[in-house]
Amino acid sequence: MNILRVENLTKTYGKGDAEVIALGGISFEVEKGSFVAVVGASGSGKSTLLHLLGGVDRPTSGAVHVDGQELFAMNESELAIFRRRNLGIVYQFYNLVPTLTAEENIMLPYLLDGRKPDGAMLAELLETIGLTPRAKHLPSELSGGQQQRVSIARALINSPAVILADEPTGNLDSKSSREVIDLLKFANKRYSQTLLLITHDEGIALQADRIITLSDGQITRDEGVKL
Amino acid sequence: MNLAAKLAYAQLITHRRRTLWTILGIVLSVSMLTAVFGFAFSGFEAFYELSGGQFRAAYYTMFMTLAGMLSLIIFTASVIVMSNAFRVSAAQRMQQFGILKSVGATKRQITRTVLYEGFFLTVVALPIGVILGLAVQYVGLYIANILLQDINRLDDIVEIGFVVAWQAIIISVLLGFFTVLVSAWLPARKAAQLPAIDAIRLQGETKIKNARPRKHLLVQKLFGFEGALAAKSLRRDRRNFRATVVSLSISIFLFLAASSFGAHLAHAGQLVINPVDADIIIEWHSNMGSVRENDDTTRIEFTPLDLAYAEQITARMRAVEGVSVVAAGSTGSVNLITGGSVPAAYLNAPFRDYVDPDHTQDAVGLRIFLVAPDAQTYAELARAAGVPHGSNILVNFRRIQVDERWTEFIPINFNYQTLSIVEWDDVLEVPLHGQLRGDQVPNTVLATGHNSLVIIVPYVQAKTYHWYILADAPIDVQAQLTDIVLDFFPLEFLTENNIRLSTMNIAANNLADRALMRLLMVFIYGFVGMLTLVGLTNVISTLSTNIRARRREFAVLQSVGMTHGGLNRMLNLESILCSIKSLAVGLPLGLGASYAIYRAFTITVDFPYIFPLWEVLACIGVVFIITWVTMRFAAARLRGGSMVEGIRGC
Repeated sequence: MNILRVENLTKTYGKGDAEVIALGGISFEVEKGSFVAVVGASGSGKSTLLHLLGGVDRPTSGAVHVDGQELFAMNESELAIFRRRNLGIVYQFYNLVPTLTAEENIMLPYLLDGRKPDGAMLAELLETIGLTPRAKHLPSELSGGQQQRVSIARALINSPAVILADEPTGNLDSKSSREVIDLLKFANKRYSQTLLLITHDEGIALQADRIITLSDGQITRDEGVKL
Repeated sequence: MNLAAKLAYAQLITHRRRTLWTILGIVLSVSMLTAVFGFAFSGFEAFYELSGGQFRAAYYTMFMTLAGMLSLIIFTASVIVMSNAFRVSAAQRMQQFGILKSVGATKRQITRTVLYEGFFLTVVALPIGVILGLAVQYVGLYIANILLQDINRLDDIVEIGFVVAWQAIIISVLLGFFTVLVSAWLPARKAAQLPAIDAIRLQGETKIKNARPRKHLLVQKLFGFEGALAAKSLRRDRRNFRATVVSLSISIFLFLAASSFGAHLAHAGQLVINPVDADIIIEWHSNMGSVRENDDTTRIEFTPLDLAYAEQITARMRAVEGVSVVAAGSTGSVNLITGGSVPAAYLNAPFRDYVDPDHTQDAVGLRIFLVAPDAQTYAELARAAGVPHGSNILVNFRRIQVDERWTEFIPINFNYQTLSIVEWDDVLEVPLHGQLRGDQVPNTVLATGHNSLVIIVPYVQAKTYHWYILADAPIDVQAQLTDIVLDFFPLEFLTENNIRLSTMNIAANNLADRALMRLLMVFIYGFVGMLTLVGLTNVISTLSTNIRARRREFAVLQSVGMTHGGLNRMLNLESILCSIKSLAVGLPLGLGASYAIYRAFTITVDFPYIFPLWEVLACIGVVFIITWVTMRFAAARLRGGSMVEGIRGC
């Protein structure tokens, strides 16, 4: 079953001579539970793609279906609610809310959804990311790798349909990078979590089931990875 | 140009918007400082001249104390506004400092670029500020003089001169330069302390405190999860909110101080100048004649004015167009003319201490006048005192100039409901049914009692009777009003009975006094207006900075699924909490300032403290509204930008 379906997605900036095509009408589908890596040079449209899939930006034309629902048919409020329930986004610069502790950041999408805090679930996630002793620390008191693990836990908390990760290791040393990737792979295997990851790092891309290569806003290669 | 200067120049050119805002800020603060001191000097000169060369030292102290306080306030406000202008781009700036450090710039070099920046900004802004300030002062005085013009038309020329106070300009220039340095230096110092790479990465940009966890159950119940978020960010991100809370508190402080200043200035002015509310006074004065009795004693005799006639005269005067009349007669009791004495026990302690410091006398000499106002005025006063018609009402009030200081007393201990007035061997018992404060009684009625202790009574044997007339055209109606009295009492009658009837047109006499009062009001409104303006600019600037600085945080919250409604709820609660916090700081400070200002006034006059109740209520209302509106407005403007840009932090 396809959990993510992208149809003829186009995003352009500017008008006339100054028009820049960031994405030139790309289409692809992602199966539930798979791990897809998106690679490409900088400026190839990777981040634009991820922002569109995450529903934080709107395309010039085209459609994105997540779990059978078309993202851009929704209004802003519906989209916000859809995001917190069905999408988990991990950014290169963690983007944690600076005034909330690690556990509060993790619970954010859950509590925004008006649900009662679930202690057991939080404890399990903290255990998984190995930050149980640092649960009550603020982001500024955590290392980069730890912050990134918090943001992954935040993406996982609502068991979203898709996790989108934008160069999650781009700002980390190799040890922390390995831990973060292992964590994402663990979620992919353990919870059959669909994972779409943008990366520069060929070593990381090769750990995925499938690699999509973007170049100048077009898909130039799309192939499975044989281990 | 050396390197540091070049870098500073480049900063100013690249961040045009910031440069412009900063220049505007400096111009505003310098011009206000110049204007405030200019007004203070001009005002001092005018007051000094109008009061006939009295109280020089006291006026000087008063004006300079007030100008000093105002400039302190303006200085603080300017630092906040300007460091805000710098803070908006603090991120880019820190990054730049980080890069400079990474290529080997020392702390000193970085600090020097900032100093150059401040220098360039001041060089451009200071002259503009000073010129603008002088212009504001000139225009303000021009307006003030226009307001004084209808008084000038009559007789004396009252004019406030334009005084260019070089002291003011020097003070403003120094303060302005200092302001820029402080506001520019703050982010620079932080960048200089951070390791270069952190500055580049913008780590440690805000210090967030991990406050002890606290349950926000009530907040959560009222405002939902978003409310709890707001409470947390307010408690943990103090630095960001401090600027807002500080500037709000300062504005509250400003408003209370300024309005209190106004109220107390008006009151003090009234006390010092106290012009009688009349353009024309028509006086009936029955001269005494002494009659030698058969038993060789002397009886003093006069022809009192029949109050029934007086009422008829008053009624006819009131029928004249553009005229209002208060009338009062006094002292039928002959033995009170030279004043009587009152048992010392009847007096309140402070007054007794004043009239009889050593407590040696059993009865204290005290001039007391029985005053009977016209029926309408009497009825109003009886209603104000809450007593029935026919009552005697004590005006429990004496204003006495002690040394150079006007002092108000409440002389009589009102527990004694009967006042025994001793004159030679006679004792006159005057029952008292009610009392009024001095400010509840028209000053004309008090004037009839020669500003002695006044007891308002329904009836007296009027030896003197005054009609106090306020008229739109005093000169035109003067003769007509006098003729009304003459209709009842022809000239022959008056001569025969040794009665002097005089008509005084004091509209012109009161000129200087009224001009002084008008002048006072002009100054009050000028100051309050200026200060409110500073306060509002400040609050709006810090609050919108706060919101803009948190753009990324909002974008992140939205990207993890916070709706617009949720964001609004969060901001609502933040603005409420922010308002409460600011009020908790600002109100006590403002009331303290209001009391301090009151004390400054009591250098020249003594009167009770006026609690600014309405101003406090207005503060509370305005703080909530301005905070809420500004936050929502700033947030709405952010919403225009895309979430992606917010997340990237550009």
